[in-house]
Amino acid sequence: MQLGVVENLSYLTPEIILTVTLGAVIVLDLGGPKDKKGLVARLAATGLGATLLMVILTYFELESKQRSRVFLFADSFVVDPFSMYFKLVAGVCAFMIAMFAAKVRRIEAHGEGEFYPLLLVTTLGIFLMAGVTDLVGMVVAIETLSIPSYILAGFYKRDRGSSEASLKYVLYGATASGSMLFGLSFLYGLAGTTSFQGIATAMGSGRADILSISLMLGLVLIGVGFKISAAPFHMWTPDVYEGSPTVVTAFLSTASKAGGFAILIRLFYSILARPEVAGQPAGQWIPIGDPGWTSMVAVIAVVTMTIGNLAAYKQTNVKRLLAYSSIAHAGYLLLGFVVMHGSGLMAMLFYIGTYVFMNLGAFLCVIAVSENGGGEEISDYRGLGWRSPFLAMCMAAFLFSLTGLPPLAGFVGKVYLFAALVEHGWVWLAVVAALNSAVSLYYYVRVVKAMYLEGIPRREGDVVPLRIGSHFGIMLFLCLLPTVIFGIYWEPLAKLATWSVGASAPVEARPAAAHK
Amino acid sequence: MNHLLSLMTFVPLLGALIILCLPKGKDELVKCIAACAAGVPLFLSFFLWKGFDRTTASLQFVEKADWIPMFNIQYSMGVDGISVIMVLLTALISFICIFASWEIGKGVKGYFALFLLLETGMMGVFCAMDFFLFYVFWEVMLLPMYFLIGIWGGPRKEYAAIKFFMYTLVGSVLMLVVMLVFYFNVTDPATGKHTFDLLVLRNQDARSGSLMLEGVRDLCFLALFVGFAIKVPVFPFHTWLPDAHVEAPTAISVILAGILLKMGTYGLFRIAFPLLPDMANKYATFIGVLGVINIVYGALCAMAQDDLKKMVAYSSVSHMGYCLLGMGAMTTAGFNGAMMQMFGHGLVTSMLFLCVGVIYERVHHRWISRFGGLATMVPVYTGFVTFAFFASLGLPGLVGFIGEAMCFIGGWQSVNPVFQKLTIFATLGILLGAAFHLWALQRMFLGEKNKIYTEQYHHVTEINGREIFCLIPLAILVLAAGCYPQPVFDLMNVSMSELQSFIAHYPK
Repeated sequence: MQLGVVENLSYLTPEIILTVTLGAVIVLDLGGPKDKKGLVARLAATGLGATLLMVILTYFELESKQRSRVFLFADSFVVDPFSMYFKLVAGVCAFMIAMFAAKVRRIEAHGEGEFYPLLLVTTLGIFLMAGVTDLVGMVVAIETLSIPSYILAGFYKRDRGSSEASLKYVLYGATASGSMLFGLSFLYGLAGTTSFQGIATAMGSGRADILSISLMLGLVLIGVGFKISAAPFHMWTPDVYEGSPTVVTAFLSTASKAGGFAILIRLFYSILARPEVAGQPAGQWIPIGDPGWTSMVAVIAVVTMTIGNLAAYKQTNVKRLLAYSSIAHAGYLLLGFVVMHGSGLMAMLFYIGTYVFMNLGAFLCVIAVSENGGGEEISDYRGLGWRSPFLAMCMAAFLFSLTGLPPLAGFVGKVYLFAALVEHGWVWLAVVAALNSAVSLYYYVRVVKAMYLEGIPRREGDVVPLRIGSHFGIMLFLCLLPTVIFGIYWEPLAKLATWSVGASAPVEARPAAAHK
Repeated sequence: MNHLLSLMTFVPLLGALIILCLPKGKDELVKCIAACAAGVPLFLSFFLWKGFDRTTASLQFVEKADWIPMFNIQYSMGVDGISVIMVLLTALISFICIFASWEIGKGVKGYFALFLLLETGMMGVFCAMDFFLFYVFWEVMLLPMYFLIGIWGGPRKEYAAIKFFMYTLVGSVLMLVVMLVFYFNVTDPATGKHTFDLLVLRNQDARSGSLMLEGVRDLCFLALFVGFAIKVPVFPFHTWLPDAHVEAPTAISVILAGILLKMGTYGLFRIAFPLLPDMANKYATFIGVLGVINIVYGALCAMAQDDLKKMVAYSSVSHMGYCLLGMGAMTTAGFNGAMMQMFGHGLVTSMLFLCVGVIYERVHHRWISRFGGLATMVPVYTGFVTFAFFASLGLPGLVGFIGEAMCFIGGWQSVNPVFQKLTIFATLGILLGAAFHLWALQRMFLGEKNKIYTEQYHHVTEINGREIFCLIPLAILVLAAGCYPQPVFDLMNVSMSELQSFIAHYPK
């Protein structure tokens, strides 16, 4: 449905508020009062909070008006529950990260006025990625996310690790973007249009030959695979995650990854698949011009999770360990993508919804430890269970949730993924994934072991407490709460995810007559 | 009492939460709360015992509520003859173990909170009648167990804890996949929806899709079997057991051997057999052979041990083999025998581990060869150990004998001709069992005092009141059920014969 300019804008309030906040933060930093310690952070967090509120309101509006999707800007941008879900996820991540960063001393020392605008721009990039339905818009959105991310990775300017991370990220990122652009140019050449709908129609007509589709597919997968750190494009992940400031790592591994998945689903399900029954996008999907890309993604998923899990074994640095774990999780998430069914997409969305909390939580624990005199090596976590009981309990909960043990949210997410696989005949894949998640326990437990099984104090008096302060405590609790609650009663999140997939899913090919 | 089972399951959890909220340094209060929280299920189990209808195989004390309607997951609890004995046993042994861990030195708060969480998990496993709920409880148990072994265990506790954790988790993720296969291929005839309800899942007419293929059923059964066999533990999946049992603190060894092992055989009874009866028949011989290997191999391993605790641990491997023999026989007597053996072994092995704990607390080692002539120094303790050893080796009049004898009778009655040979071979286990028990008894308690290590146990003191308090109820039950096992059989018999005839309906 096409709308006028003013009506268009009303669906974009979250993005508008985000942009206004961005401007306000820059202005405040340049021209505000001299002593504005923490003011920038507070403003950015408030802006993100308001954005989040508007996302939720828009969500409700879509539901109340029974609108499954609203196209804006000549069909190049869509507001639908699917994109709103990812905006919600990205908004929550950005908000949490803005709150974490407010208490990180090194961020303050390097200039809050630079950190927060960059964070806001990346968030805006993810918001755009969630909604674009046009190749050009897609590239712009991805770069809006990427370029500030490169800077954020190198935010600690005099830190060699941080600079290295930034350089690696730029080099890999540029290569991946270039490959993807090359692939997209094939797509344009095949369809003669940049609009997803147009491309879908062209693809559906069967004009494209297998060779060019395969080539395009491979090249685009490089670009997207890089963003979600799927093997074999994952090599940057450990170095960048380890070297970057931990708040940035937390952002890259959650919000940025969610954005990558949003674009992956939207692109592939719009242009390379069509629903089996027209008008029922939540059901079965059929790949178009199939060069077997579902099997290809299945293989990528298996390789990704296996590499991630095996490489994590030997890590001694917690950040690096979590980096490999996030590679493994990209592999799990891809499982839902393979199924070609609404239930698989729903499982992915659900998993992302739970994953961000547990992963953010785990990184927050890392920040809280290193901000309070601890290190980032596993050996620095020895005896933490006695030195900081609440922190250690949270960390253990997040790690067990990442492993997928009930009654924690990560378990439920995995069940939905495996269920989608089993339901649609991918039992072997479910078995591989299940065994993978069982062995992943081994390295997550290494951190838990260090916290609880090692460095046990002989006497009560021997304990050197590590106090994390109320700010980090509250933030930890905010991550812990959904991790536990969605493990015990997850119906609301499941409903939200189902609705977000079911009502709209990605764009489907419309008959040409509908184009006006 | 409509919510009896829920109360029995969740009161310990409530106790754990209360304990976590207490301030530091209130160790005595923590212990009292733990004792109360574990006492409530024991108290309620009297009502369960009295109210349980022994004439029906259907579920009793049923509670049902929607949990996740979207996925049709239900909070569904209930007991029948298969589970009621295990629920009673869990309530009793958990309560005793609270007192067995009274002297735990460090981290009292954490220990008892985790212990109560463990009790919730165990109760839940035995009461859950929804596969998903069962799975959740099954896994919930792992976490406290890991910490209880890992923090409060012996010298190699870290290795033992992670080994236990990994083994069980690998087994249970396979179970998860099988669970999903069942979910998507079974439709509840009443509602037309997929379901996790165990009673519907065993309805062979409600099936469709890939479950109709024999190959798929084969794989499903084997995956379930491996999942449960790890817990039992069945040879060759038993290697976690000696490590975990030996390193765990006394009370946790008791829980491990007394209850956790039974979850494996319970899972076979509750899930693997009724859900895939034709496969149960197909693999019956296989199960029986593994059972005999367990019996003989476990007994031989036990004989070779110098560490008393390890000997007791391997004797568990041997005793659980009788259960497998009885189960594989697919006769009512065999099933009853297996269940009786689960019950009897739960009591006896708890006594054994408690006894091991008593001596370890006094001399801080468990090497059989370093003892000698203890009987003159600690006669009362010697009496308890002797009683437990005789129960364990299957002396008539004590409960161990009943279970073993029933398993042999069941094996002999089996229509499967292999089982008679297996049963004959399995009787070797009785001989070996008697041998290693009596030999250990002789080396430790009789004869001369060990010259080399004598100075180490100058200070061996007699078993104290708290320890006797833990052992007495078990000893009474061992004797009572050994002399007059009928009340126990009454509890299970109807359900077991129902299960047996159900399985017999589906020949391989």
